[in-house]
Amino acid sequence: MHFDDTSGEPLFRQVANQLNEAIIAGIYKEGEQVPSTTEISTAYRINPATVLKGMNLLVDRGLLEKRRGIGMFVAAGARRRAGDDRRDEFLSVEVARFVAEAKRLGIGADELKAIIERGYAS
Amino acid sequence: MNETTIKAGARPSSRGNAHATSGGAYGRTRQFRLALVRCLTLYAVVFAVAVIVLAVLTYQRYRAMILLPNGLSGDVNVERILFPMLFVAALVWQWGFFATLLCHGVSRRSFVGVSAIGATAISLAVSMVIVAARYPLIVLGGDVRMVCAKAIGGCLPSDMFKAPLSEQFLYAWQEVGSTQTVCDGSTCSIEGGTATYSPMLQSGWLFMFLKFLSLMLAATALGMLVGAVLAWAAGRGVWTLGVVAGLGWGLFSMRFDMAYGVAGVIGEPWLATWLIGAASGRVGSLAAGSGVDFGTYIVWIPLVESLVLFALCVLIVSRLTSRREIRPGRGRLG
Amino acid sequence: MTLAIRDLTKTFRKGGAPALDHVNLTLKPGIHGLFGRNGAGKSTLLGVIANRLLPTSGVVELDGADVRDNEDAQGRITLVNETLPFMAAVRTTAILKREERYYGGLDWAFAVRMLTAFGVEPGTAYSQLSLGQRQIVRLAAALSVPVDVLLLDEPVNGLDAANRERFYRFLLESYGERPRIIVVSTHIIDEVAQVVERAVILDKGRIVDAFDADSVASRATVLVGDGSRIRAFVEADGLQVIADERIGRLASVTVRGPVPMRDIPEGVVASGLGLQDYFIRVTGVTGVDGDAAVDPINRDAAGGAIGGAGDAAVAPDPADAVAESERRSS
Repeated sequence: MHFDDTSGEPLFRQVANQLNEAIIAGIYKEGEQVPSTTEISTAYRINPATVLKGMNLLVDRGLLEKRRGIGMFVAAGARRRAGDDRRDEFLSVEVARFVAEAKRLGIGADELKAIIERGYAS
Repeated sequence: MNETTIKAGARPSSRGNAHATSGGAYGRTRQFRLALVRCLTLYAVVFAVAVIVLAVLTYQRYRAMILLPNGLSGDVNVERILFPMLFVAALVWQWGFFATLLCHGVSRRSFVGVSAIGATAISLAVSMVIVAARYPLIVLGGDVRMVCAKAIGGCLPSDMFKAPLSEQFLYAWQEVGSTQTVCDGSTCSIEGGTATYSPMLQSGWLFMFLKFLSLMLAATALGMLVGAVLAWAAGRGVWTLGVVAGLGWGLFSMRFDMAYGVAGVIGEPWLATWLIGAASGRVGSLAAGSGVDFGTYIVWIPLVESLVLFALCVLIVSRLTSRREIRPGRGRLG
Repeated sequence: MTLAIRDLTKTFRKGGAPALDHVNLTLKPGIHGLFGRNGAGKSTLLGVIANRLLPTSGVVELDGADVRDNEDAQGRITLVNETLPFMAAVRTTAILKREERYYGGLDWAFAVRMLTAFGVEPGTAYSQLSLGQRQIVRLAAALSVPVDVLLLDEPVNGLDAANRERFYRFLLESYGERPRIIVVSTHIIDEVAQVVERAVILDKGRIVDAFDADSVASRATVLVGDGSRIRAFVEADGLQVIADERIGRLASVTVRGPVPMRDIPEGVVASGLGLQDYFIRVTGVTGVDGDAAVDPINRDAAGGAIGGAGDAAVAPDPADAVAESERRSS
């Protein structure tokens, strides 16, 4: 994991994203316990409140579940859902940003399309 | 890593819980207790050093007297040694120990309280030990410089150390003239001789103790005061500290001359004279025949004077300390 | 567990500029970063909380009780700063034992583990330790005593980069085990940006801003683009300018708060700021009106106008802005 203070993205969201990626990659398998807030906090030198905020984001999305007094576990079906979430985010946010930037640079839709298709072909 | 217990009090030696039981009553907090222990420890060290120094000096004196009985003057003057020692100890405590204690949560009020208690304790302890060591020698030897007893298999000098100012109070009055007379017993009068001695008072030991105590109280009170004033000056910068220290040293080296001079300018110096005279406890004197000088000594006068001085010093110290700060930029001086 | 600083003013010399000027701040459990330039009043603030300095006016309260000369409260507060309260000729274990007595407990396992991690043998004499190691001993003691308020004034001074990182880990671990009010003042802001939960920025004795550290990106927005276009936009939207740098026609204007993406005019790029950059802009040297006809070469690199570029800025917090400009003109 790597956290960047200057990226402009709130740190807790970075924590959530990184855990999300780890779940997609299968580093934390469904039903497995993820590291505790303190463990992540000390290992990456991030305030525990921030870590918790990021984890709660995943709890809200149903990717993690709290077990009282034990810790956080990867929920059943989390990997698939995490992949879906990531996909949604890519399509709604990153592609939109990408298109906006292309527009700003005066790249036409056809030109962009051609480039994308070339990328897929290779 | 996931332990959430606070390990306060995990060791049997740790005292109480953090802050629930102290209740805030003055003098009963953990900090007050610890500060008092620290103050008494410092004074205990000073006391031990004082005893060692006096023992060494007395032993040297003893060796000298064995070699030349009656041939040497200059007994070990306990008062002259202990007064500056306690003065310096109180000064060091007041100036140097404040920062450490304040940094550990001791309040300014507790610090002053502890200082006063510590000063009283060391004064009492020193006075008791000195009187307990010296009084039997006086009783055994009177003014005779040799104590002769079967138990020690002969005679030993009794005057190896003395507390001259305090010992005057053993008697209602005493010869202070120049004649040195060898004489036996606690009450001594030489028929047809040159000197007459007062009989030793029944509670003379108490008067001696009180006079010694008042001297020690004055030493610690002045030490505290000077320590607090120096700390105050240091808090205002190195220059102020220098000026105050220089002024203090100048006054000290001039002793009372300056005080007399100032008093003389303001008005009659009788007040200064009276105060210093009263500190000696000597309220009256008369000259008897043969040029023998008799003085009357009342212990309550110097005692009350010392107590007033002590209270006054503690009051000033408390005022100065209540505004005392530890400013990071000033290092450890203030 | 609440530490409330109310209207705190501290003046060192009569008639002199106040080191703290009517500071109001409420601290709850959490790791707080206290940031300010040299002489901003950080050490003074921590000193007053720890009763080493006395307030000129105002009060510091721990759970409602005035902490001034209050042993109950001070038994719950500890401060590590450049004042060295240890006599040199003692062993580190003796130092820890003393701390244990004064604060009513000590987490020995944690303290020993921390000292060992930094290569300090617990039995060593304090006088034989290097400057950095002495700092470690004091930090280990402070982290191990059961206080509710832990104040660390420049804790990583004298520590190398690896040791600084190691220290932050121990700090976070200690906080994780026992959440309490921790205040860390430091100049190395980038390093603690992720460690602190809240940031408090102090400038010339006043609190300039206090906010959740992870929301720093929305505290301010940098707009880069054509100067006149940005200026028009800033005026139209009533944005408060924090800093303003320009090179010819190209302007880099920092405004308070987030700016919605859709509002941003064509040809202007907007971005958030990291904690350190935000700090520099908020506390940067000023004195020049942030308006056009200023020779860019004569301006401080970190410069820009705080509190308003001319009449353009409409401060959301007018009191702040007025006080700011008053202070500046005095």
